[in-house]
Amino acid sequence: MGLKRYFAEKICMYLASMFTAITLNFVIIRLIPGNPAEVLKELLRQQAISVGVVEFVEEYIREFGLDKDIATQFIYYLVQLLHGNLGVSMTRFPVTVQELIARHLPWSIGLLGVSCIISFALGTLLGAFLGWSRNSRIAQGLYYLALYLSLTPYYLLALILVYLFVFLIPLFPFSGGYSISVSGGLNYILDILWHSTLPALSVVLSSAGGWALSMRAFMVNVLGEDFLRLAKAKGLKPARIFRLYALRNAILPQTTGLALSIGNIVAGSLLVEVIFAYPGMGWLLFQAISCLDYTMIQGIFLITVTAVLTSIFIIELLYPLIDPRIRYS
Amino acid sequence: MRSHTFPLALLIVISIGISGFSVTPIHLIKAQEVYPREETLYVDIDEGRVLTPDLWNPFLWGCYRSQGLRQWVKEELFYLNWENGTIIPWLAEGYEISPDYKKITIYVRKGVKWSDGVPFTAKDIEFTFKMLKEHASVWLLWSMDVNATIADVRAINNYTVVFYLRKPDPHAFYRFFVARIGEAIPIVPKHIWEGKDPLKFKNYPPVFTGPYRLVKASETEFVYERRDDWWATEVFGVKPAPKYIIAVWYGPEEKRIMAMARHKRDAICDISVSGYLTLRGLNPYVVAWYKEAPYAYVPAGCARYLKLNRNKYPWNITEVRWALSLAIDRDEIIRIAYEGSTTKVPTLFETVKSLMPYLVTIEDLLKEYNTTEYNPEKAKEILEKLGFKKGSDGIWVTPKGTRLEATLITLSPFIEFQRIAMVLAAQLQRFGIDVSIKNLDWGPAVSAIVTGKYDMAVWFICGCVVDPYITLDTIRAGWPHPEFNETVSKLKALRPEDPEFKKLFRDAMAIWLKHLPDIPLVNSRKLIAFDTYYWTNWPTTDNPYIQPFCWLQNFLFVLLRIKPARQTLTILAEPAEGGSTTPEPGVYKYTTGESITITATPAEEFEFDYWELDGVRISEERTITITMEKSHTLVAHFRPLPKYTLTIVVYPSEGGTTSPPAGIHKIVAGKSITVTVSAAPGYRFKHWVLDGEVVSKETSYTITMDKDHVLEAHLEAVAPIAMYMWIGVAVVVVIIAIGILVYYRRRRKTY
Repeated sequence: MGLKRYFAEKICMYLASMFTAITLNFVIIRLIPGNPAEVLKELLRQQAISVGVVEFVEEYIREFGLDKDIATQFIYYLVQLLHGNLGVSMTRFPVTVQELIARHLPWSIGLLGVSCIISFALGTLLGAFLGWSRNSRIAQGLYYLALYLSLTPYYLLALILVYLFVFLIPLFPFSGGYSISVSGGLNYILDILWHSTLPALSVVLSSAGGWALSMRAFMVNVLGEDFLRLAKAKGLKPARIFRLYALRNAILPQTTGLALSIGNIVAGSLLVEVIFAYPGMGWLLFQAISCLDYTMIQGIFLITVTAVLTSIFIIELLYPLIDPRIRYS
Repeated sequence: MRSHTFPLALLIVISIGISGFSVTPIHLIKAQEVYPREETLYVDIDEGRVLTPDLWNPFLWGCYRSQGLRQWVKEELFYLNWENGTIIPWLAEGYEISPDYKKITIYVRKGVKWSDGVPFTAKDIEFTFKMLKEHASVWLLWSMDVNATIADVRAINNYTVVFYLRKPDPHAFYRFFVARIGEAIPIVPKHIWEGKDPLKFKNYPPVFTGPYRLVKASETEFVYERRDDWWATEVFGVKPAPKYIIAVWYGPEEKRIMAMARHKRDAICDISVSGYLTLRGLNPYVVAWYKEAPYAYVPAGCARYLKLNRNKYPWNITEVRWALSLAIDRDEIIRIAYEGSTTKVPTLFETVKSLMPYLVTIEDLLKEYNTTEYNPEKAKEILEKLGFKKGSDGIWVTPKGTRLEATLITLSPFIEFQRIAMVLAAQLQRFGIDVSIKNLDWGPAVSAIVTGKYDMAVWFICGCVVDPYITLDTIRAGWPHPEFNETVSKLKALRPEDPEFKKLFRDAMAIWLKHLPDIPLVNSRKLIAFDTYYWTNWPTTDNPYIQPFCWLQNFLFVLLRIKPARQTLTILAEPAEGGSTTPEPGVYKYTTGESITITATPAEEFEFDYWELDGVRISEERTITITMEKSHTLVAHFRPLPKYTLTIVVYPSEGGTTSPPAGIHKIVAGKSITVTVSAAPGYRFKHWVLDGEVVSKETSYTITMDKDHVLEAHLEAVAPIAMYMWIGVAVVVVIIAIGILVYYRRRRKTY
């Protein structure tokens, strides 16, 4: 299989996956039990408004095209998507979905993106070490630590961190993405870093264990391969064998895992955002699902699916570079 | 052997890098605090993280309110104090409702100003209502109701606005103009909103009439600064004590508790009893509405009840509903789900004080229809009479032969509701109803209820706190009972003051109690924790001036009543060299209400004059006591004592010196001073002359300064002959002595 064919196949797969995802995104949302108009009607009642409720439901349904058949709604949805229009939030009217996503996405990418890369790097290295020296005492101790971290519920770990480093030793702030009293410049950047440290640490600690365990498993598999025995028999230095023979082969499946975790970055982490009162996409998605804000849910899912598919697509395009076997096959 | 040095070293380097990077900026950032804690009030954001911090248009759905908009940025025409049922005229000073309930006149208070300094007038009210009518749609809150109710609105002059209603509506005044549980219709400034599309205008930064202006906003934090030009300061002479308010969302209850334990927030909007008790253990300064259980503010306006799907068998049978009510142990719900922090509610009306005049009229009905009774035996009898039988598995079997099963819906965002549902499900299971809980999010839960895909739901009704009409209206919307509907319709046409109103209310409730369409459970409760470390005088049962809800509009009155926990006493001495005080002049912090005794001690040559407190002369006693109800500046005024002139003269001037030296001296009146003279060589002291009279021949003389004096030291020169004579005598004595010495030496040689 030539490289051209490989790339063509991947591009076709990417486009097909995108269309399927977009379609499923549209359909699945509408399968959620409930009717957004009824939710808003109840909210209206809470405001002690009893007059005009029927008209309200009718107008709401009309405004968002909920009275049209599903095919018409789908075509309308696709046309809007092609125009880059994700629509107006049903519950945050008149704020557009794009505006809300644009406000929240950078926080999620900033926090979860960086912490995901750090945790991936740390976890992978730790896993490589655990696999490489699996009989040493240090490796065994670290293995149990990684196991413990990967099994600790995230909210518990996060609350312990808050208790230790916010309450007992007040090193970090209680909440938020930045101090409102700090204005631009270097201090602002430092302030953002200060606020993100603990949430990032919690994410790194809770996910690095998982990365380490999976990497250890891949590493152990690779260590049993013949080419590694040959390398040792050739008298290569252990560091060279580790870097070029073991690590490079074991890291391939890890990178696929990294591509898949991009989805989590874009969709945000609700628990991180709730416990650390940190801005991001998780809370936005949670609010949207709670109030059946179709347009918002669609918007967020679309961004997430696009991010995951695109990152997988990029990783697959990069595979020939990482893995020469694909290049030469 | 495999080398593990390389990966391990890389791991350590990365870890150190990350931790170093994390800790470095801490000290830099900590220096950024610009809001002095003792002048800043920290309040919870009740609604969670604010997704649209720059949206301040109160007519839009997406606009958040409990981040400060409702409490201290926007103000109401009238407020309702549930504690005593009184209406507090605020932006308006009065109203009139025509006898036919078709005309409402609002009298605007003079002197009210918007935060940009423009006067608030009847024209603004007229504009707001006309704008709502003009843009009436579901997207603009209140607009549909306004358009359906109000035919026209006219500002007669700057301070009078008249509303003409389409048809008689005795409840329109409360609905549109009085802030009760929810807010009334917000009034917006015409000069800002005119020409704007109310569906798109964000109103950021917001211009309203409240005592604070928004300084900064983020999704989790809002900073407000007190407006010293607030209209009410001029009109009523009131001013909230906190200079800044910071509304923060901290996340889950555990974090909010940790923050208050560290005095980092002053008000937490609603926590659990166990959370509150933990907090009180960590921070003894924390208070709530009640000192002891139930701690929480009960009732808080929104009754919790079991909503039944009356379109479904067997819940459509009144007797079954009554049996269900009798099978529910409300005390157990209160004990387990609420940890004892609420009370039973006999109807869907919470027992708030302002509703009591109506609720007392149905007391006898409640004895007949005891909706809070727990009597499973009686419930069993009812079901058996209806032909229900217990199955072998302990679950009732209906006369139709089906197992008595029920899906109980509860709202997943509210832990309180889930707790009720769990206790309730266990009780009903015990009684013989196979209950399965469906924990749904807000949207799906509402939808399941509306579409009838449920059996029962733990639900709530935020009804009325002024008169019972709105709750009755809400009940009839979900319970189309002809007789009940007719009674409520009649009630709608009456004002609460009408004697017929109470009678109709009683009639409506008699119908409701007889059929029991829904099953009342408990009063809602809100456990609001206040920290008295920085701010005191929070509303509690000992001091119940208003409801303690920090997320509602009435919190404005809490802001006007709270005081700094510690007051500053600045003590000054004037002039500084005039004396001192005990405690010494300086700046001190005292607990609010503490009595302080201060004593003034004049310096030498000064006497105490008077005390000046905040610019007012208050006492001439050297010791005073002041009570620190607010910060004070206390000045101890001293004055110099009166002095007389003492002129000391030496005669002759070269004859000697005095101490104090010759010259003019100012001596404090009444003081005694001793003057001593030393004669120069060749002189001797003769006597003292005081004011022309010889008074002493001693070298020291003590004089009391009872007036101006002239003291002269008189000395005289000693004669020179006397000196020579003595020299001669000395020479003779020496010669004689030498002669005697010479005589004896010669005589010794001779022998």
